[in-house]
Parts: sequence; structure tokens; C-alpha cells
Amino acid sequence: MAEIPPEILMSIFEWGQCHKDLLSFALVCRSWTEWAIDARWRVCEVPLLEILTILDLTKRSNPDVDDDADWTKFVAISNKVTKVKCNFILPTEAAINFYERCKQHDDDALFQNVWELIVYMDFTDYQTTSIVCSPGAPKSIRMYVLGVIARDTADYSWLCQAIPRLSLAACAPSVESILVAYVFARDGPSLSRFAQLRVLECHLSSITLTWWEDLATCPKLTDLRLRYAVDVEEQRGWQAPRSWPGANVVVFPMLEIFHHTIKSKRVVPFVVKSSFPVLRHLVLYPCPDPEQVECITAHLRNCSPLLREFRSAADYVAEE
Amino acid sequence: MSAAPQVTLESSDGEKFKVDKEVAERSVLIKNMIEDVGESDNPIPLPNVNASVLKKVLEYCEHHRGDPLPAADADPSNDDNRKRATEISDWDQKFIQVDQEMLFEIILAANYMDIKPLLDVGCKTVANMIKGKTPEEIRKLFNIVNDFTPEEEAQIKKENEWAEDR
Repeated sequence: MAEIPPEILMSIFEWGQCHKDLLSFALVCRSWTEWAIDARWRVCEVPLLEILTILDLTKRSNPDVDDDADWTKFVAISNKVTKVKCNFILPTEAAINFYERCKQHDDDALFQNVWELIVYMDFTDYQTTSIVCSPGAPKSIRMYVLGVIARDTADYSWLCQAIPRLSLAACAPSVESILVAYVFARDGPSLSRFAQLRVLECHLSSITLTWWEDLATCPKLTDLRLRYAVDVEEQRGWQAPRSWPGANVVVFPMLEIFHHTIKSKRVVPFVVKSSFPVLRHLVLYPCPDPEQVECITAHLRNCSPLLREFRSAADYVAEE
Repeated sequence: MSAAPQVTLESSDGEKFKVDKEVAERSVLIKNMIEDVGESDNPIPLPNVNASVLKKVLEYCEHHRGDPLPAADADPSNDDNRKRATEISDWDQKFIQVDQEMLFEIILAANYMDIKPLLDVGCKTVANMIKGKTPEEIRKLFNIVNDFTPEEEAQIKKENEWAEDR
């Protein structure tokens, strides 16, 4: 075991998925320490706050100081992490200090390996999350609003005001995948600016029509997953986005599932119909009745030449 | 009799194994060698892998001969990929139930022969063995000597304090 080459140690440690395990590995022997700590940064979801505390953010930028050890360390760590969790709000003064120090060091190359940004929308702000959005990163965003179930979207007015600030597209143009959960919003992120978007997944989210119309401008979208998309049917006059190449969207009758979670909402699974030239995967949660599944599948197979996987999630319950 | 093209592999201890080319080519190393050298009747030498390990590795390749080859640029942001990745199939699990020495030999061979899925199965298995264990339990499991001074140990703990309860 002692002769295990470092690259194999690293491969093993990458499968340890929690901070606690990786700390245990680091404490086994000297030859393990470096690799385990390295793996911890690369594998785990690291809170942005933990990375920022490497920096003394009470410190103003000072061009006369050559030795900026904490900045060097911060840059190194920021470029190791792959999954960053944003769930705090950076005080204005700290933010100013941070951006000034960025300027001082002329360092754009931060967070270059982040492919997943996990945003807890009710606990963070645009300013804080945008720190991670340097060119090239991230490729994937998960957005959550946690622990909030309201009777009515009106209850979310405070949230709706917060969300436009999260138009991350502007600073994260290379995002390929977005997961939106529990977001009830009039104004989601502006999809039209995510030119690289390949995967959009919505769980229990009520997103406005402009959102869906925006989708039409995502030329690379190949994978659309809708889990318990609510509210769509209630939107009057809603029509399939016309500029979506040849696509219609069909809303299927609601299922009596999940009423216990969202009491006043009816749950409607809906599906993309007709030709969607690059669509490869479509997953429906929950599944409509088998006849409908049959009908949808047959239709999609005919019209979407690249569709490889159609899954109606009978496995959804097991999965949860 | 199968008409499929075959190649011969030679282990470090000189044993020869005749296998279908498709099976041998699960190993990127062998695939590249065949591409570079062209078809030949000469056995392909594998000086880092002994017969008992090679036999086991070929058993894996045979079982997975039809699997799609992993994409070179596997996308970590794809949830399905990730989910599939953390599971070990029943067959693989049974296959990898070997003693510790053989397990590491297989991992080293998979690394050398460049068989990524087998390397992953091996590494995942070791990771599962050590997950949730204390450093002392891990040392015992693998016969590792604790070479830290108490000060060093305390230092690592201190520097990584925030990791402890996550």
C-alpha cells in the first residue's frame, strides 16, 4: 500500500466524497496528506466563504506590499476547487476590498476549474456569486431556494425582487447546464444569454413564460428535464415559443401527485413535441399514464432524430 | 470457432494469452500498440503484469467487451454520468471481491494498461473500504505505519478544522 503511486492515491481519494473522510485520509501517513487535502478541495462542495476566509478581507489593497502571501494561497485554492457553494452575503466593505485586490493583482484567473456553482438564492446575492464567475467557469449552475413553500406566488414577491440580480449569464457565459429547484419567479436568469446551455433541469419550479421563450434562443440545448413543473397550465394564453425551431410544447393533463407539497398548485408534466433538431434526452417527472407515454414516445422518436433517451420517470419514487 | 481477429498477450512471467482483438483493445495501451505496430503474430509483451493478474484483467475485458468506450472528455457536469459513476455493478462487485494484494495488483495493471473503467472500479472499491474509518483503522487495514510526529498531526488537524464536522 505504501508503494501506491500518487496518481492512484488521487484516483482513490476522488471517490471519498465528504470532507470528514478526506481529513481522515490526510491523517493516515505523510505520503497521504498532500493528496487527501488536494482531493478535498477538488472533490467536495466547498463553501465560498471558506475560500474567501483565506484572504483577510478587512485588508485594503496596498500596492506597496510585495509579499501578499494570503492572496497567492487564495489564487491557488480558488483554482483547485470544482464545486463552490454560495450561501452567504458578502458585506459591501469586504466586497470592495476584494475587488480592489483583484485589480491590484490584475488576476482574472480565479476559479478556473469550477464547473458547478451551487447557489442558494435566498441566502446569497449577485455580488457574492459573481466572484466565482470568471471567464471559463462555471459550466454548471444549480440554483435552489430552500425551505420555502408558499401558497401563492405572491408570497414570493420579496424573492422575485432578488432574482433579477442573479442574471448570472452576463458573467458566466460558458454555462452548459442549469438546474433550478424551488424557484418561483417572475424573472429567472436570462436564458437567452446562455449560448452554451445544453441541459436545463427544473424541479418544482414555476418559471415565467419569458423564461421559456428565452429557451428558444439556446441553440445548443439538448437535454430538457422537467420535474414537477408547476403552474404552466394556469398561464393563460400560453403558447409554444414560436422561434423554437419547429417545436410545439404540449401540456398534459395534471396528475394528482404532489398536492401535499404544493397545495394550491396543480402539477402538470409537459413535453416538447415535434421536431427538436438537437434534443437527445428528455425526462418526464412524474410520468403520465402509460398510453400517453406511448404516444409521446412514438411522436418524439419520429420527430427528433437525435433523441436517444426518453425516460418517463416511473423510477422517480425509487430514486428519491 | 470465432472468425474474430485475435491477438496474443504475454505476461511478465512469460505466459501467453490468446484473446479476441476486441477484448484486448479495452486496454488503451494495447489498442495504441496495435495501431502503432500494425497487425502482427508476435505476442504483445506486458512486462508489468503477471499471469494471474492478467488473467483476471482479461476476464473483466471479456465481460465488458461490448460496452461503449468511455468518452475521452467525459463531462463531469452531467448528473447521470456522475450518478452512474458512483455505483458499482453487481458483476463488477463480484469480480473485484479478491484479496487486498490482488486488488492493488489489478489497480496497478489497469493503470498501466490504461483501462479506465477497471481502474475506477478498483479505486472505488478501495475508497469504499476506507470511507467512514478513522485514520488508525485505515492504517491497520493496510498495514501502514503512522509516521507523523504528534505536532504534525495536530497541525494538520488545526489547519483543516472546518472539515471535521461536514
